[in-house]
Parts: sequence; C-alpha cells; structure tokens
Amino acid sequence: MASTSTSTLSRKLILKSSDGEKFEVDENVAMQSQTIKHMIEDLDDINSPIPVSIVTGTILSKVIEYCKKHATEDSDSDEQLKQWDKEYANNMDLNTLYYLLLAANYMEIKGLLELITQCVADMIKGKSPEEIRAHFNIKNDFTPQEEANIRNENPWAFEN
Amino acid sequence: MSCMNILELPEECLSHILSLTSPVDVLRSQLVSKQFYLASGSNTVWEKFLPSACADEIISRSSVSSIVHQLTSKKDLFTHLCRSILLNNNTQSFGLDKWIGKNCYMLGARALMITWGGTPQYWSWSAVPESRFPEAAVLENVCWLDIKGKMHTKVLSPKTTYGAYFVFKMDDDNHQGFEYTPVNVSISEVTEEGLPTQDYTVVVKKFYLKEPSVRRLSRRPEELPVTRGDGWMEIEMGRYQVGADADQGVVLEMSLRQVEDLNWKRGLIVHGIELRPLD
Repeated sequence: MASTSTSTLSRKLILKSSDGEKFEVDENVAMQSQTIKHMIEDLDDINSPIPVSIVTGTILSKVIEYCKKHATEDSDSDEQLKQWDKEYANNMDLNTLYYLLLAANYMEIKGLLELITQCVADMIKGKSPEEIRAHFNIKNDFTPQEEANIRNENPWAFEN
Repeated sequence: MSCMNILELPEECLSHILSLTSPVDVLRSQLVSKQFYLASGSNTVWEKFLPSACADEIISRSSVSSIVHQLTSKKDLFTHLCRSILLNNNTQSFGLDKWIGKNCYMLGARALMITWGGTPQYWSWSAVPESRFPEAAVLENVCWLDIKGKMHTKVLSPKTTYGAYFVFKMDDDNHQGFEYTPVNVSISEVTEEGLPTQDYTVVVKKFYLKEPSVRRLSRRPEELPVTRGDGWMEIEMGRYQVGADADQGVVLEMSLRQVEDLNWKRGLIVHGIELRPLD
C-alpha cells in the first residue's frame, strides 16, 4: 500500500510543446493546469508525451517554472510567494507576457492568468490614450470626428 | 517566437485586462483604437465595477428602477448610476463614484431623525434649488439640537474606508447660535436593535458650523466647515472602515448634537448626511 501511494505522488508526466520540446514534470506541477488535468483523466498511458499544442518550448519552460513554484506551497509564506510572482512577471518583456497570457488562458492556469493580466493592466492604469498607444505600439484608427464623439460621451474622463 | 501586438490577443483577454484597471482607465482606453473601444464596452469589464447583488436590491427601491432595469449594457448602467438615483420616496440617494466605481450613499434630511422635526415652530421643510432631494430641513428655532442618521453597512462597498459628511448651509441673513457654540459630531457602530457593538471606539469631534464674524476669534481650520462644489458646506463627522465581507446586522449611526449649551439656534439648512469612499 505504502509503495503505491509513494509512486502516485512522484508520478512523472511528459509535456510536449508545439515545437516538439519535451519536459518531464511531477504530476502535481502539471495538474495546476486544468486543461492537462482533464487530458490526464482521459489518458490510458501516462507515459506517452502530452501535447500542449499552441505553446512553444520557450514559453512552456516559463509556465513550468511558475507551476513548480506554486506546487510546493508549504515552503514559502504568502508574502514571499507574492514577491516571487512580482519578480517573475517583471522579468518578462511585453512579447513574452502576451504569449504567457495565451498559454495560461489555453492551459487554464488561473493564478498565472491573473498575474499576467494584472501586470498588463497595471501598464494601462493612469495613462492617456496617446501614452497607451505609444507603450503598446498601437495605431490610432479613428477619424477626428469619431474621436470627438467618444470624448463627448464622458468628457470628465479626459480632463486632467 | 514572432513579435505579437496586444491587439492580436483574443477580445476576451483584452476585456479581462481592462477589467483589472479602473472605470476612468477603461473610458480613456476607448480612444486608443477601434479594438480597444469594442473591448472596453463589454459587459465583462463593467460587471467588475458594478456594485454587488445588494445594489440590485437598492436599485429596486428606486423610483427609476424600471428604466435602470432596461439598461442591458453594463456600461450604460454604470454611467447611469454615476449620476445617482433617488430611493425610498426620494429621501435617499445612491450612486457610484465614477473614478473608482464604489458605492456612495446619501440620507436626505427627510431620512434623518431630527428631534422636533415635526413641529413647524421649530423646524420647517422647504424646497431648496441646489438640493438633490425635494425637501430640506430649515431650523427655525431650537435649543435642543439633535440629528441622527442610520445606515446599514451592507449598502457600502467592501474593503473601503468611508467618510461620513454632514451637508448643510447657513442662512446668511438669519442665523444664530453657531458662531460661538460648537456642535458635537460622531459616528458609532450599532446593532440592528440599536445597541453599541463591542470594540468600536466612538470619537466625538467639535465643529463651529459658522465662522465667527468677529475676526479676533480665529478658529482652527479643522473646526470649520468646508465649501463643496455644489453650493453646500460640509463637515466630516467621522471615518469608517468597511471589512472584506459586509458584516450582517451592523448599522452606522451618525449623530450631530448640541444639547449641553441650551442656547437658541436658528438658520441651519440641512441637506443630509453623505457617505463616500475616501480611497
């Protein structure tokens, strides 16, 4: 009995990225993803690699880094974990954040999704429309008339 | 890994991002581009800024509830509530702070307990143009000044510090009793039965509702009312911190009294007591 439960705890899974890179991870790390959790339930042979079809190896390794940290929750206090999350997100460039967001969304990792979404939201906070365009490299596709109409809907929001 | 733009994210991701900013950030971001405009109008975004289920109950007590319930877009509902709606036979008002989307509540004079308020020789009731309510209370003459307002904390936004403000005006040509005698204000936490709750310390503050006309009697600024932008004056009766989950059965009692010096007082025009978020 004891040996069965030990082997369940340390069960390894292999995740395969969209570009064919393979990662061996503990089951409890992979189970942070609801998508993978559901896939395992339907899987007959857990030794075959699990395809994470839209996520590249570079991004998947970052996702796994997050999941590993959050799978061993006993070792850190909430405060330390928050600090770790903050540094983790701050170390990513904008492009990586987008891909991580898509990966967290597809893999259904709630904590990671909230973390990255909040990180991007904080970049929008307090900025003018012009500053947001500059920060995210967005082209203004409104005519001056359309722009004036939007301003007139809630003029107070555009006063400084 | 090819270079991606925020506009290539699925619309629900962009809406999710915007929902974690603030109402004013979302309105500003509408101007960024057409895609931002679409994402910023989604109900997912505005649901986050709308008050909890309890507010539905508040809205149903409003005289305009039928109009409000027709607003299917959450953004329209939000902007409508920012302009405040009147409740309970137009004696109270409820609205959202448009910058942060938190509940604001005001008890009009008719929703307050005013000692002698029903006796015309002491208090009269009249329409004041700057008032958001149909009637304001006008102090004709009393010695015993005692005004109380009660509000359930569940109508306030959770995890928020509120200030309680007594909103009034002074009849410049005909006032007496407020220049030299301060009024005492306080807020306290009571149960629905009116009993004080444990571990809540009541702080009593003193205010002169009228600055003395004699210049040598200078008052400290914290003892005097502040002029508001809407033609009224206000004093801060106290502050109150609402917890993470609104405590059931907790009532805030806000009081303004002057019953120690039984001098004659007149000329006070009462708009009501307002609770608004401070953060």
